[in-house]
Amino acid sequence: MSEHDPVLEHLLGLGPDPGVEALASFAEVELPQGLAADTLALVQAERDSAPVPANRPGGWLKFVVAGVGVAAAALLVVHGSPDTGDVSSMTARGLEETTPAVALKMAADRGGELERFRDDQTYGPGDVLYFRYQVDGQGWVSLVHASPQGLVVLTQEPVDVGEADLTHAGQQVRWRIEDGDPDAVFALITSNDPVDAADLQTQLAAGLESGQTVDPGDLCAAAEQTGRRCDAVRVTTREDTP
Amino acid sequence: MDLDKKTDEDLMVLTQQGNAAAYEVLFKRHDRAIYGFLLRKTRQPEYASELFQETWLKVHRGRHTYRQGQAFRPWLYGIALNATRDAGRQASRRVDTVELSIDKPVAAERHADRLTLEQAIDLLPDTLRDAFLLGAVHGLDHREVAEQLNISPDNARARISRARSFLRDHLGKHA
Repeated sequence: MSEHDPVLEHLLGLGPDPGVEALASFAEVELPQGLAADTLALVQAERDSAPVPANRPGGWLKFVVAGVGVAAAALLVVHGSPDTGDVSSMTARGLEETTPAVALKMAADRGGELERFRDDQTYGPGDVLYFRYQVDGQGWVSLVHASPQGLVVLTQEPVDVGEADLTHAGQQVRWRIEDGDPDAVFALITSNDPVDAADLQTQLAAGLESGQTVDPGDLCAAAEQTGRRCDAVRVTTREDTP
Repeated sequence: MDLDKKTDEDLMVLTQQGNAAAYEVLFKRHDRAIYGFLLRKTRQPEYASELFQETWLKVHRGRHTYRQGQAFRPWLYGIALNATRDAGRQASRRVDTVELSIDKPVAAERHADRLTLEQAIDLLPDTLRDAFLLGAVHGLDHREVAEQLNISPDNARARISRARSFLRDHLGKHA
């Protein structure tokens, strides 16, 4: 080293811990201008239950969020709940039921018209799916997408008791179906604490046959084997719009 | 009530009770460290900023999942780490690098050494880098690092040690 730097020496294992304040000179990095204020504003907006000017996570291939949460939520209520049942009567199969029971409710935007999702219909390129949850306890929900192409945890969000749209960074989560998308299963899986997405994927995949069309019941059974509760819906796709 | 004198854990309990000022004190106490962690993890300033917002939103939304008596910093870093693990998002992101700026007043030689260290950290395998950042840079103990990475404390200690050895070799520094 060019000069005695206790922080560098500590980081390299060549010296004692220089203390929190000294270590902060390396650990801490100045925020880009406006980031702190923007973040606090986002949180305050959530506190106030006002529409949130969220930071759109650009770069996601298909999984995006939309600023139409209020409208979507209203329509979901108008159209009623999909046949996911009453969460109070839902039971998890498998291990001890310690995570919140959950019901997944979905809506679909087909050419500008938002309607209740139906698992007996097919959905084509350009259709957009929206997600809503109902849980009977506080915790976290992971939204999982499973298809013959693989299984991925799309997002994980903290939830409170009751029913609400699934949001990420203050905006409603949605999924746009694209050309060539195979049939898929979407699942909401609950946990009491944040879970490692990679671990959850590994655990779920271990309970499923790879390369096969995933069944909602099988996916939830795999989730419940890990002690978590789940609700899942199959989305059947078609190649072209009618 | 002087919030600045309260511990992180006390502030988090107040946050759970709806005290927005307590949340802001926590935010201002840890914002630069969390941003530093996310920037070194992702090497993408825009992505790090996005994850930064996501982390603090989740601290707010998930405040009810914090258990009284639980150490705050490991809980906070767990949320930040989890944000970086969103496989659906990582898969669509281009790997990129960025040179970290060091704004603290340090001597020119130290500055150069630290930049060299930054570059070496970037070369660490993910498993070693996570353990090194959490344990060596951000001061979590081995047990706390182990909990966040779902490994044993011995494994956490070993990973940090291997990371340090890697960095020493890269920088040509030896005990």
